[in-house]
Amino acid sequence: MSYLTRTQVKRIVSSAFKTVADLPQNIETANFSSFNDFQKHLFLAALKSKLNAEPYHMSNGSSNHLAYYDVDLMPDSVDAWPTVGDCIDFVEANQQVVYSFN
Amino acid sequence: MNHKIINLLLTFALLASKPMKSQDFEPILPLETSIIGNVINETSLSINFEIQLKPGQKVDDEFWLEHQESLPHFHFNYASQAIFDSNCNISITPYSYKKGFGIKIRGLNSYFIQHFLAKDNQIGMYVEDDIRFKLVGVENPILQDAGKKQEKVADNFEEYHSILKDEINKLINESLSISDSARASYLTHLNNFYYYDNRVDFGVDIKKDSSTNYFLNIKLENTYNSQSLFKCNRSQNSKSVPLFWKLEGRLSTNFEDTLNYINYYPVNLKFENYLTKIPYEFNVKFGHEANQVFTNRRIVLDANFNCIIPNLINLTTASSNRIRLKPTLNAGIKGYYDYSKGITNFISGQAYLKLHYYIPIFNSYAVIIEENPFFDFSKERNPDQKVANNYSITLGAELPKTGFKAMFKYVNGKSDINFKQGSIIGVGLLMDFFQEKNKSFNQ
Repeated sequence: MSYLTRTQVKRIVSSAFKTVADLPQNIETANFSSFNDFQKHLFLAALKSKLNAEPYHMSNGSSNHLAYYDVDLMPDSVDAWPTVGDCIDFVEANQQVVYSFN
Repeated sequence: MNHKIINLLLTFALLASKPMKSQDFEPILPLETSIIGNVINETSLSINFEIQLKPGQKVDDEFWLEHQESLPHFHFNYASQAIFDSNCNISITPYSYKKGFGIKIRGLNSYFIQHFLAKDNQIGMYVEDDIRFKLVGVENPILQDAGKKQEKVADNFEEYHSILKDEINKLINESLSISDSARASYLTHLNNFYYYDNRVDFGVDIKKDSSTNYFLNIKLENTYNSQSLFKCNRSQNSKSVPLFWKLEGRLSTNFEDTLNYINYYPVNLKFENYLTKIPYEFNVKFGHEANQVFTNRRIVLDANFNCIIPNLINLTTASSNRIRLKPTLNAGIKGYYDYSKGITNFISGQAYLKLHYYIPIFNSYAVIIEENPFFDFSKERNPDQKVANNYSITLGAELPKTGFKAMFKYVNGKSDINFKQGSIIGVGLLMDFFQEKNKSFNQ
């Protein structure tokens, strides 16, 4: 089905991270403790925009422009994720498929 | 031959998307509702309707695409036209998530935040028909309680359900509410997203002559009117730039410490774009800068540009597995009117750079370098016309999951307010003031 898999979410989170940091080989155990507010801010904005820009694919493999992926985030969302792996889990579990037609 | 295949596919597609009848859907009740705020890239509120699912089930996100007539439509009933803003089109957009479905409300304005779900009969929200949806099986379910015997649905599982219109409307308008503290929390989050750099930092100076001084670093930014932070769509040109105040300083029990300062900027404007190839903030501020005893003082107009630059150094190892944050660089220029005590008043300017670089070392150590070279154009303050500098080096260790860092800090250089050289060694605590205060908006 067309919800993003954890592997796909990890790719998007990694891509957002590259806006503010160079990444270690295993990103999942890395943490956010050294981020300053500007870096947190940029990471969250990049994460949200990259998720929104991810093409929505239906289970038959076709892409559909009538829906897109989204997730609700707050400035302190980063503080709730002890590691990057927790961030990936959060996005994977809370992703929304938003319908852009009426 | 090809035409026959195409016709066959079209017929199949029409049959597949044939409208379903209401009796095809078994009515159920939502398990739980929750309200979730979002302020990243846009301001919105989401209302989740969670469905009672068995292990291995999820809500089918393709159902409303295949049966567009089933997509739920909501509308507002309102007592005042104030719900509408000439710049904002308030909208309700449905979505699916794995555990249920929800609606996303955008184009929020201050009236809406004040009255939505406040039980004051100002704004009601209603769905126009029963909400119909489909449950399907997860391809590769991972059961949370693997040791327990659980009922697992088949991969090809399909069920059609509905939640009756009256049930949803009753739930939204009678049971669901947003507390005053949650509304305030949402505004605080919104403020912190744009003017987030609030922090208080206490410490102790260790002097060679064994005297002890305590210092306080503060940096506070807040908008005058939090309602002005509501923007319909941050990509639209019509957005306003809210006005905010800023107070920053370093105060010490040693009043004569050359590194002390207190700056207050009543007029601040921030323009930012976090989604371009080079994300940036552009700040303009007007205010007053002084040392702690106000013998050096000036009125300033400052413009600066904040961005991220590539990493310059790598002190981690292949096994240390740490993120190496890129440095943040702030470049600015300011004009000022200096009316310090004991001098003839004059007008001049200053150009400056500020670098913040967090460098992880091996597995758990780190050094934070803050570098601030500046050049003053005035003959009065900078007769040699040389670039001056002040910097700090902070050594610390990352303590897992606490957000707290042990701090040992060395500061050296000239203050850009009084041009006196100074150095200190500080041992203290570093904490983010608003991290302690913020709570989730979830209901």
